[in-house]
Amino acid sequence: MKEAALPSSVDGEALRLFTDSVERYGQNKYGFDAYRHLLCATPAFSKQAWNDYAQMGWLSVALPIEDGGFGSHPQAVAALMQYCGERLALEPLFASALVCGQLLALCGSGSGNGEQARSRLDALAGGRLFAFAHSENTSDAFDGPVAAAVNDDKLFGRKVVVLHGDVADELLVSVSEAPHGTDPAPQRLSIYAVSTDQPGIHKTSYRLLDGRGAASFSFDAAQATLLGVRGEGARMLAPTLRDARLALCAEAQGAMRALNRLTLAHLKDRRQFGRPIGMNQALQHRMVEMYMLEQESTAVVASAHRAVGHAAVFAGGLAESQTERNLIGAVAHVMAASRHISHEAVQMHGGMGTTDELAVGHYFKRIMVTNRLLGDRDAHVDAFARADAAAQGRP
Amino acid sequence: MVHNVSNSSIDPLAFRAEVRDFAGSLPAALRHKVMNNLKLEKDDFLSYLGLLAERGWIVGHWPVEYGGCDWTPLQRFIFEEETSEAGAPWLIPFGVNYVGPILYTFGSQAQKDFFLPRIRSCQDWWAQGYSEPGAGSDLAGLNTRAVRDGDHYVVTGQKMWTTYVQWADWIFCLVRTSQEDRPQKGISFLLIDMKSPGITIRPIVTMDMCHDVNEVFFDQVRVPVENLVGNEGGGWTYAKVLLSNERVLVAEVGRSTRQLRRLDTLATSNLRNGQPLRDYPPFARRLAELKLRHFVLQSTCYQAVADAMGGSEPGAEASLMKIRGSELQQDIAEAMVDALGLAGIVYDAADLEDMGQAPGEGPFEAPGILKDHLHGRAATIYGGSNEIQRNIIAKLALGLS
Repeated sequence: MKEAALPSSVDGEALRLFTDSVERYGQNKYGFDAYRHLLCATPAFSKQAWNDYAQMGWLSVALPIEDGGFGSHPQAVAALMQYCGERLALEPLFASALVCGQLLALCGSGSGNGEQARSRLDALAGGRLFAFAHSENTSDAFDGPVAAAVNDDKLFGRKVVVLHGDVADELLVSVSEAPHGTDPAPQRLSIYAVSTDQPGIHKTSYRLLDGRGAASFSFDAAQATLLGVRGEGARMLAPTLRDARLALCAEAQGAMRALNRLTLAHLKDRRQFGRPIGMNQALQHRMVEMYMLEQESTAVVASAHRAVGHAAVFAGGLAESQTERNLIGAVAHVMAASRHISHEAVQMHGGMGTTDELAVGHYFKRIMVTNRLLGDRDAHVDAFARADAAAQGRP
Repeated sequence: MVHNVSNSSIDPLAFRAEVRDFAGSLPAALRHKVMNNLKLEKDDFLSYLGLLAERGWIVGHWPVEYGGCDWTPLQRFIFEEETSEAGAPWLIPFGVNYVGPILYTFGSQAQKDFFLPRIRSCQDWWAQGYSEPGAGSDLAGLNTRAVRDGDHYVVTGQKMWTTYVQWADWIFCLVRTSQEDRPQKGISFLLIDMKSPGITIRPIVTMDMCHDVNEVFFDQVRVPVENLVGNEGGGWTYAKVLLSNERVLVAEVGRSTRQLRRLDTLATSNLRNGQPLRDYPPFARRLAELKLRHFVLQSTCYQAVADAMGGSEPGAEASLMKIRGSELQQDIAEAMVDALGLAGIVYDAADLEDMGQAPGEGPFEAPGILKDHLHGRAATIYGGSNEIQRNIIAKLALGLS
């Protein structure tokens, strides 16, 4: 698959070195046994690995290029997230380094309270844990903030299923600005930083399906610091969420690649009725389907990367609506593909595929989470339909 | 199968009403656990079996002479459908449905006299020792050996996926007693006392993080020769007869009825875009398609029951129902997880034990819904994988082999 052209501002050599280092670390340092061991710990991730990531500059990936980062370059992000998917890495790379990193960088790039955002980036790159608190309702999950409201920098309301919220030092909270007790106005969003170590916060921690930690928060006059410009949060959130969804695609791709590799090996190794089960044409065709889905995923993600600003030059510059269509189309396909592959991988591994002992079931659960973190199967297809209509100039 | 003439004239509607009454009177705490897929302990299962024994229905499908009611296939189907739908626990089948019928059909008088009353009174918990690490789909490839030594067989080998063997008093095993030209020929059916020296159990934790299945290791376990069922080398035939007796139940249609009803409730209480999920077109469509498949499955079951009532020999219909039933179960379970929204990624197996305690996030039934989804991935694998079931249909129904 041809890679998108790099914007001139990113040093191609530095990027190559970075992606190589991610791949090497995954191969040498983050094995399945170590991962399983971590699942039993609290918090369920490796402090050692987290320090390594900071040392290797992984946590700076969202920092502006002039500050030594990669400006959330899609290839750097993809390398990290494929690593997470393929190695089942448990550390808060996605939540802290990528999502909060990008949000801080964006809030810091403008006027207003930009300095408050910029000043946090160094700490983030050094390993301070940030979590992104956005959803407010589990059953109607994918809308923006409704209830969280601010009064003179005092935050009220509730956020749920905050990934790594159990360990976060600080939350970045999407907030609908409104006087406390009045109806919030969803269109006036702001981003606030809220330290988790304060009396105005009530936290309930729990585990996600894939072993990672999360938490729900109630805010009752919690101290909050505005980041960037008041009421301009949507402008920061949109690209952050867009890139976050693409990052989840990369994670799903890493998991798919691992599942396809494991399943193919199993089809060749496992013998029943005196021959490898992969000799059965029925299974061959299903493995072929899994392979095709992985190939197509690579293709659609490349389309999305080309469409997203960084490589606009490659596609000749696409209209905003077309960009959105490519991007959400990639998300919808990759999520469906990874779901299908995870089902098939378990099935073809037979009983062993359903055990905690084999990696297959762990990938199955990780993919379940990835598939639901920022919109589910219906939400993705709906969003594609809307983007498609917009790209055709229909309302 | 022996048909009692008077039973054939039983009014199915009246019988259904009777079973429904019984199922409706199950203890609320037990029903609560089942409805929410919470963890059931040995005593939960036993209390249900006890209630059935009290009602005289624990072995309803057995012949009267062995303490049963000589239920027709229709009665048995109605019983299963109504009880599962109403939230009765899984009727642990190993004694009542599996080894019992094999014993009264192929067992010695001494085996019948000793074991059958103990099954009827739930005195013995039975486990099934069929699969092995190298013998899954290819069950006849099993390697656990039983070597004759005087009045005993000496059994050495390993069984796998043995459900609840940690609670078992006895295990019935398929073992290899000789090497023949066809692997199916040298297999025998042995009853093994779990208290015998040389048996070790190793738990298998599944991806729902629960412990239901196990590996069982046999190291020179001495089994009295009188615990051989039928003839040496006849084990494969007995096991196959057993499977065809189970033909209609594998669809677990009552369970799917129950789950669909819960999905309906969930789709009413949970919102999407501010509206009930059931009014959200993609989900409404999905729900309708699941219900359509359920209707088809139910019809297939009734057809199979009618065929069995007509005395037809079992064919490939059990495989069809196993395939459709398990796939439907899985797709309902996945839709339920999706209906939970973000709460569908919160899971801690510990929440399955603490009855009434709210989990970290989402409705309190969320942990059970997730467990059901994870656990249910095995439904298309156990009891003969769906791939094997399709091979059976290709061979038996279509003559393709």
